Amino acid sequence: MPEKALELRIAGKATAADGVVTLTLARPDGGRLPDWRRARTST
Amino acid sequence: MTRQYSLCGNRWDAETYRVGVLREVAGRGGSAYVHDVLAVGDLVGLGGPRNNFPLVPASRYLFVAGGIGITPLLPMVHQAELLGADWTLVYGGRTRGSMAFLDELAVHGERVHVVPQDECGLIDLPRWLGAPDPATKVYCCGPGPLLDAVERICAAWPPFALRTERFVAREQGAPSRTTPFDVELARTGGTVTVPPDLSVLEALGKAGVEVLSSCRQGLCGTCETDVLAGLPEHRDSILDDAERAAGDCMFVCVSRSLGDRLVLDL
Repeated sequence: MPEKALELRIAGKATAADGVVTLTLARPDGGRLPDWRRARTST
Repeated sequence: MTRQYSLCGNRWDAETYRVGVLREVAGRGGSAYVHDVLAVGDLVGLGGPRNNFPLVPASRYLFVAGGIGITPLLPMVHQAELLGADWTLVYGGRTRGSMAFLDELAVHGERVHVVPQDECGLIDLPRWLGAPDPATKVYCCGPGPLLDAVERICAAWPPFALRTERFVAREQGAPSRTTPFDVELARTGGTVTVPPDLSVLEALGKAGVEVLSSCRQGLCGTCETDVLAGLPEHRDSILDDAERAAGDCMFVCVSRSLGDRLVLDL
């Protein structure tokens, strides 16, 4: 199903290794983000 | 542009997500944009998160990471640690300098085996996977050749012992049908004919039926659609054998139909 897009602010950017950056993302208002969704299926 | 990245932060932190992004020199420009353009304070759109790669209960885990494939495994490592499971991570990369999160992983001591290729060669897979263990689940993420090699060795393991996540689509042969098939839309009514030269997603789009999609390679899972009747021909890199056999969902960007007709929950 289509999901509502959420706008997030880049709160941090850091180099994690050669050629790898990490981004930290947060809501502009600092609110709670959607939980990591539970798996669709599992065995 | 829309890209999929693995969340690699603390899943119990409700206010921030963290992603790790490798610069893909031969990529389509997404990673270069992240590296060169995106800056602190910029706004980006988020769809998801979604989980195609869940950690299932087990008393023992073996995590095998190649390069940037460490990112989806990092939260699993944290979770396994939190659960008090017995776990081991074998993490290969070209050089130490190219391997992200080594500092974070160092706190786990001997559970983590770092294998930089320039010092140690490739991961010795037979050493880690040579003896199938029914109590162990194996999670692997990394480049295609690593996944292929792990899949070959794990063929000797119990079913579902191995779970993988691919960043590059699995090679697929030609579709089994060379003739059109019909897709019936159960909720909105109507039927869309899918010719051999269009994907289901494209045929739906032409008919004005929008399905949210992203990678268009059967990797990300965005376009998952419930199948109500008919037999899908799965051509994705996400579903495992049991999920394929169930035949109750498909990824319309790549998967097709074996029969003349599919009924989708659209």
